[in-house]
Order: sequence, then C-alpha cells, then structure tokens
Amino acid sequence: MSEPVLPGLSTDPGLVAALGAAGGFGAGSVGQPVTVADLVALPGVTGVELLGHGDVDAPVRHLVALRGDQVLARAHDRAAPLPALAGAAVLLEDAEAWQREGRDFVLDLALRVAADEGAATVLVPHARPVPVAAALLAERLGVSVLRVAGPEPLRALADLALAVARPDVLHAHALRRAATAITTEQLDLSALLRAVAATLDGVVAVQSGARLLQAERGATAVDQPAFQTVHLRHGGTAYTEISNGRAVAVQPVPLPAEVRERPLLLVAQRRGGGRLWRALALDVLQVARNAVAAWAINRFLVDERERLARARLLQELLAEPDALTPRAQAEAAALGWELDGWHTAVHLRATEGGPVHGATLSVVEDLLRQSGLGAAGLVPQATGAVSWLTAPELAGLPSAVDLAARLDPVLEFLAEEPEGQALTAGLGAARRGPVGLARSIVEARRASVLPVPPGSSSLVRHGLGRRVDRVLALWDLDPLLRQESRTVVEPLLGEPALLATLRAFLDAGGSAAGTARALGVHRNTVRYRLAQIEQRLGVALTEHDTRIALAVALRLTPDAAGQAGTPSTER
Amino acid sequence: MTWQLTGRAVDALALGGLLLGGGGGGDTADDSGSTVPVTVADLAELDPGTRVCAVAQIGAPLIGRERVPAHELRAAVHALAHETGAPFPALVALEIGGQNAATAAAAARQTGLPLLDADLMGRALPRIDQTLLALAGGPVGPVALASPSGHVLTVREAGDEDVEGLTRALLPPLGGRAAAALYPTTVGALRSAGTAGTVRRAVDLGGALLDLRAAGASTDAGYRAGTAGTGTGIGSGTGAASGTGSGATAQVEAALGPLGLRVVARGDVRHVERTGGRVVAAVVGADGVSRLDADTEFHHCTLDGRPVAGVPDVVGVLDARTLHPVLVADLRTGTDVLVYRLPVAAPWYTDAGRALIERGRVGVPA
Repeated sequence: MSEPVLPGLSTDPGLVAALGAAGGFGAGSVGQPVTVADLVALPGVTGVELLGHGDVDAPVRHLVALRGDQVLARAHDRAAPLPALAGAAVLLEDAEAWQREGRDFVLDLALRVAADEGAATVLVPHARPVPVAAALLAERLGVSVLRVAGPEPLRALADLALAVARPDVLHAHALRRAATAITTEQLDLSALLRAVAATLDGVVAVQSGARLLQAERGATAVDQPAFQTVHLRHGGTAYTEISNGRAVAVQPVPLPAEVRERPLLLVAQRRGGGRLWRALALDVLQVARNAVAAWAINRFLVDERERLARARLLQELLAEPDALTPRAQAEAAALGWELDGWHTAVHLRATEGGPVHGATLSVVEDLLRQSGLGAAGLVPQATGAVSWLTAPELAGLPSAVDLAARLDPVLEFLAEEPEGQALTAGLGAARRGPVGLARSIVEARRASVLPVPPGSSSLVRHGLGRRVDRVLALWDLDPLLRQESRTVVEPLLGEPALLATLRAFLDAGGSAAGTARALGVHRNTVRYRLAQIEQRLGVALTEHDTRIALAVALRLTPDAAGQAGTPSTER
Repeated sequence: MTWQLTGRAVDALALGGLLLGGGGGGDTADDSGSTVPVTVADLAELDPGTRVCAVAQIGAPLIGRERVPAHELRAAVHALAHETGAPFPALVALEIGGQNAATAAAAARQTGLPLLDADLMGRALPRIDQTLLALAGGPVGPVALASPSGHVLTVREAGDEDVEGLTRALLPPLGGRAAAALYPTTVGALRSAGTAGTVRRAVDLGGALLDLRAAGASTDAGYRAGTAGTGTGIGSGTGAASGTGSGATAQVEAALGPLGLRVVARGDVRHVERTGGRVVAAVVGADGVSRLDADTEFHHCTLDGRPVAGVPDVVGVLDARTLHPVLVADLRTGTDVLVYRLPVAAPWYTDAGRALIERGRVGVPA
C-alpha cells in the first residue's frame, strides 16, 4: 500500500525554509504522513477527544476497520488473522454495539491488540464516555485513543479517514475555505481574524512587536486556551513550533518601511495541533497576511489623517477657547469631542526629550483605549502629545490620583518594550467647557516637566491631584461667587501695591514680616499697607475667615489675580 | 453418600454460595433453625424416578436483608406438590450461587425433606429459566410462589418463554421477593443435566476459605449473613494466611486452587461506574490494569487488555483484607481486591449454554 503524503503543501521556498528552520514540518518533512495530533486537531472536525498517553506524533499511515469478533478471536488465539495494524488508525467499527450489548470490555481487548500490533491510534465511535478502566489501560499501554462523539460523528469519521488517506485534499479544502472568508473580510480586523480562527479551529492574533493588538477565536474553539504572545524569531521569517502543548504558527506581516516601525506578526495557536495543522496554519496565515497588511496600512493612514485634523483643531481651541468658530465646533463634534463637558488633560512627553514617535503614538493610543483612557485620541504637539478625558459631570472623571494609577502601567509597559519610547505624563485639573479644557491642557503640559516627587516612582506628574482642586474648580464655575468676589476686592483694583501686599500677606500665612521679605519692603511699609487695605475693604485681616474669603476673592477676580506687586523703594 | 449438613458446614455452605455467586445472588439467607441438621443426599444413591423440585428465594436480594423470614419456603413446596398432584420426597437448590445455597438448606429444614447434593445452575444467574435443566429441554413450570405474609400464587401451563416474565410480574404484589418452588422433575433428569455435587463443592470452597481465615486472626462474623465486608479482617499480617500481605494471592490459590479457584487479578479498586444496570470497575495493581464488567453478577475480567476470566466461569471478587466475597452492589473504590474465577459444569461451555447465559445480561434481548 502506498503511503499517503502531504504533497505540495507549501510551495513558497521561503516558507519551506522557515518550516525547516523551525525544526518541525519543513522541506524534509513534506511527504510525511499525518500524525495522531493532526487527527485530534482537524480543522472543521468537532467531537474528537484524545485519551491515553500515546505518542501523538506517531505517523498514521492508513486506516483499518476492526470488528469485535476479530478482536475477540485474536484475544483468545494469538494466531487468529488480523489486517495489518502497524502504523494504522484502527477504527473499532461496531464499538457502539459492544457497548449496547454489555460487551464493552472488547474495547480493552482491542486496545491490547492495537498496542501489540504497533497501531498508531484507536478510533472509538462512542456516544458515551469511554470507561475509566479503558482510559487507564490506554495510558498504561501507551495507546492513543480518539473517541469520536460530537453532533456529527459520521462526518467526523469521514474527515478523519480523508485526513489519513488524502491529507492534501483536506488541506486544500481548508485553505480554500480560509481564502474565501478572508477575501470577504478585508478591512475589519476582528472579522478577518475570526474567519481565520474558524478555519483553523484555534486562536488567531495580530501582534505589534511583543504586544498583542487583537486576538480572536473560532466559534468552535471555545475550549482553546487564551492566546499567548510569541517572539519574532529566525530572522523575521515564518515558523511553527510546539510550545507547552500548543501548536503555534507565526507569519510576519509584510509592511512598507514608512509604516513598519515595529514588526507586525500574524499568529495562530491551537492546543494539540499536529504537523498537518501547523502546515495548514502557515499557509492560511500566508493568505491572510496581505489582508492584515492592508488593514495595517489603512489604519496607519487613517490614524495619521485623524491626528493631523485633531492637531489643527486643538491649535484653534488653545488660541481662542472662548471664541470657537461654528466650523471648528462642527469639526470637534465630528471628532467626538464634547467640549461642553468636564475635561482632564494628559500631556505625554518623551523622557529623553524630542518628539513622540508616530509609532509610539499608535501604541499609546491602543494602550489608552484598552485602559479606558483614550476617548479623545492623541494629538501630537511640539513638546509631545496631548489627550484628555471628558465626562458630562465632574463625578464622571477620575481623580488625578486614580488617573495616575491607570496611566502608570501603560507608561511602564511602553518603557519596558524593546523598541518602546519612554514617556512621562503630566495631568491637568478637571475643568469644564472649552476654556477649561484649554486651561487643563496648559496645566498638564506644565505638570509633565515637574520633578519626580521624593519617594515616588510614578511616571505621572500632577501638581493638582488633590480633592481641593475640585473645590477650586467648582468655585471657578459659580457666577454669584465670582460677582461677590469682585465686589469684595473692587476697592483695591487699580492699587497694584495694595493687591500685591494682600496676596503676599495671605501667601505668608498672615505674617507681616514674611510679607515684607516676600515683597522686599520694610515691615512698617507692610503694616501701613495692611491698615490701608483693612480700611478700604472694611475688614479685619486678623480674622481667619476674612483671610480665607479674601484668598478666594483674589483667585476668582482675574483683574486682581494677575497684577504683579510693585516693590517699594521706601524703607 | 448421604451426609448431614450441620454445624460449621452450614457456615461453609453460606460462604461457598457467595464464592459461587460471583457477586450476585444476594448474601443474606434465611438461616433460622440453622442448628437443625439437614440431610444431603447424593443423586447417585436415589432412585432416578424420585420426584424432586427446586427451591429458591427470587426477586430483589436486598429485600431479603430487611424481611423477617417465615415459612414461605415450605408453603411454596407444598403448593407445587398440590399443583403437580404428588408430594416431593427431596428438594434441590435452584442456584448454588449467592444466598440461595443457604435458602435451599433452610427449605429442607422447614419441610424436613432431604436436600440433593446438586443445583440447577452451578453458579448464580439472574433468570429462573437459566438452568442446566432448561438447557437440557426440561420445563421450568409450574411455579409456586409464596410470600411471608401467607399469599401463595401458582403459574401454570405457561411456556418456558413466558414463565420468567410472568413470575417476575407477580413479584411486586408479593413484596418484591418470594419463595419459589419450581422445576418439578426427577433425580434421573438432574443426573442427565450434569448438576451433581454442587452442595458439596460449595461447602468445600466455603470451608477452605473459613480455614484460611481462621489461620489468621479473622473472626467468622465477617462473612455471616448480612454483614458483607464488615469482618474484622484476618489480622495485621500476623497469621500465615494474612490477606493484607503480598502473599494473599498465593495463600488463596493454595487453599482454594485444588477446588478449581484461580486468582486472575489483584489490586485496588480505582473507579466504579454504574450506568443503567451495568457496572464497570477499574482495578489497578502491580500486574497491571484490570477491568471488571458486571450487571447482576461479575461477568468478565481483563488484565492489561487480555481476557483472564469470563462467563460461563464464575467471575468473583474477594476483599483481600477480609477475604470476604464482594457483591457487585458492594464494590467500592479504594478496596484492595482479588479477582478470581471458578469453572462451572461442562454444558455451560457449549454454544447453547453460552447463549442461555447471555440471555440474562443487561442489554441482551431475552
């Protein structure tokens, strides 16, 4: 009997070389029969369960059907004739009938016969579970048992038979199915990966470097383990391997140099997949990789375009936050910016200085999105990149401390990536409306250059991260408070020396000496000015509540807050 | 040769019955009045024309563990004598396996009749039509059934194909279990059927096992009716016949081998699956993995995928610690067991004999 082979599975010389380099199925392996592991993991075949600890890499050279009477005859007479079982997948064709008639022990006898004759595996079409005794025996004898149950056992058996006799046909059929699915799912990565995963009955993912971008599993692969990221090996070529009991196939995705700042990998995984599955997976991934490349290029271009649009719009916003044109407002709405809401800005700065790379921006955008922090997208700026979180109410925004706790892992991950760019982040306070957003962005940019607080390893800086910031933010919004504040300090407006003295006095905690030192004037001058202030405002600065009220009033009155003090020449 | 069944032989018969029961046939017999001797008569010494009927308790053995025995055995025998028009000068056991060995002795005591050194099965089987007499073409009926509460029913003029089903159908109103007198026949027919000597065989087997247990520190309480698996064991390796050591197999074979018993597997019961009346047990020992298949009795055993015991042989299990036969219903994970086989009468090994035994198996059409 001629041995069934895997002819012409992969005609791509580079691919074949890669297979050979992987030490698995390669140039030297084309032409080998399928293995037991292949039969367990046939794409599209469900309900095949592996029992026993036999050699799953044993080649299966042919399929032999065996009946119970043949098994019984051999069990009682070593000379009883049997078909050649060496290297065979032995199908116990009437196993269901044995079980029905209470003669299921024939299964154990068949396992013995299979082990004695060197069969590769035993196929048991059993609707019910194989008894524990038979499973223990299979382990003891080192026989692989494939229990074929599932909803369509006859179809599964037919596919198993086809896989043994003509694996090339099965391979071609699966490849055609994959190609059909892939061509209809060009630019939706999730659908594309799901289609490929369904063809391979496994998990298929796209990695950017060592980072997982997206993983999907086939509808029938619910029992497959979660995806594990792989490393690029073998000089960036395709390869397959067995790792921790799971078969892995890796195809690099070819990308133009402008887009390829880090390698993109298309990876398929399946627990227990054999040579046939790995070869099929490589071929299917090869078909799929161009579609993934198209998706990656498209995504890069879309990202770039959106980033440019965002940068231009943000520039307008920062220039005139309270006078946005209708066009700018429409563009902002189109980008999903809810400018009237509450905002907390994040400014990212390259630790080593210079711009943040485009690839890094893409990575950070993905990471922020995965962490639930990527609402506005990243907008590149000269000193880094900025983003912000928006919520309809203040309560919907995380506090600065919470936000820092969520950002830190992202920045740490980025810093640890082999080709990653180390970034630090600054946070702005929570503020409302376009004006508030602009102010928060400025605060975030300033915070990003703050020194590391003593004892902290955080990569996120925020001078404002306390609850009191929210109190101050709410003061800002209260028009009545603003009006009253202005009324309070109005008598001092136009008197910069008095305003500066009052501010310094409040900053110095009510100390006249401290105020004198801060302003560079004589203490008596300070006392004189303080008396003037008390007289004009009609208050006593010795009272604590008065000092608090004046501090708030100064903060909320822009005319008073921004005027610098004038040092006196008097001594 | 006629001999008296009394004293230790009564216990030996009960234990031997369990050994020949192969895990079926129950383990609780009506042993009331067991101190009264029973005369056991050799078939060869009796006139071939001597009338005889078989006796047994039929129905669920577990009910026998709970039920208080009365004189239903005698009632059944008398009813069958009345039905057939003449008394029976002797009784024979329907099955020597399980509790019906001791039941036959109890019937002989209740009626004062001698018990023949024979039975109709040579082992335990689940159906009343699975006998060597039926195999030889003898009729099963009429069948007289009696319950402890005094009800007596007779199945008459039923063909052999129907008598099993009819009799089973009558058991529920009789409480699920009843004394039965059946197979009205002659000593000559029994001789032809090849059923002779099985009471002696059971007593010899049980006696040898008693001796083995006595050689250790065992008490006899362990094998007595109703206490399966509760014996105190045969010592902590102190006696020559200790079942706890690795030599238990050799000791059992040395003691019972001359009587035809062969130990075919030894190990711990690793798993017991019970599905739809079928039982599959995995026994793992130093020699390999054994598989025990059972329904009402153990019927097949393989060791590492090779057949080592199967019907028509009796396939049975001994607790290696207590040396007490284990019923199918009492097989438990974690027990250290010996699996044995015992040959039975030659007619069972014919094609027709094997086919008749198969009729009682779960899943096999009757």
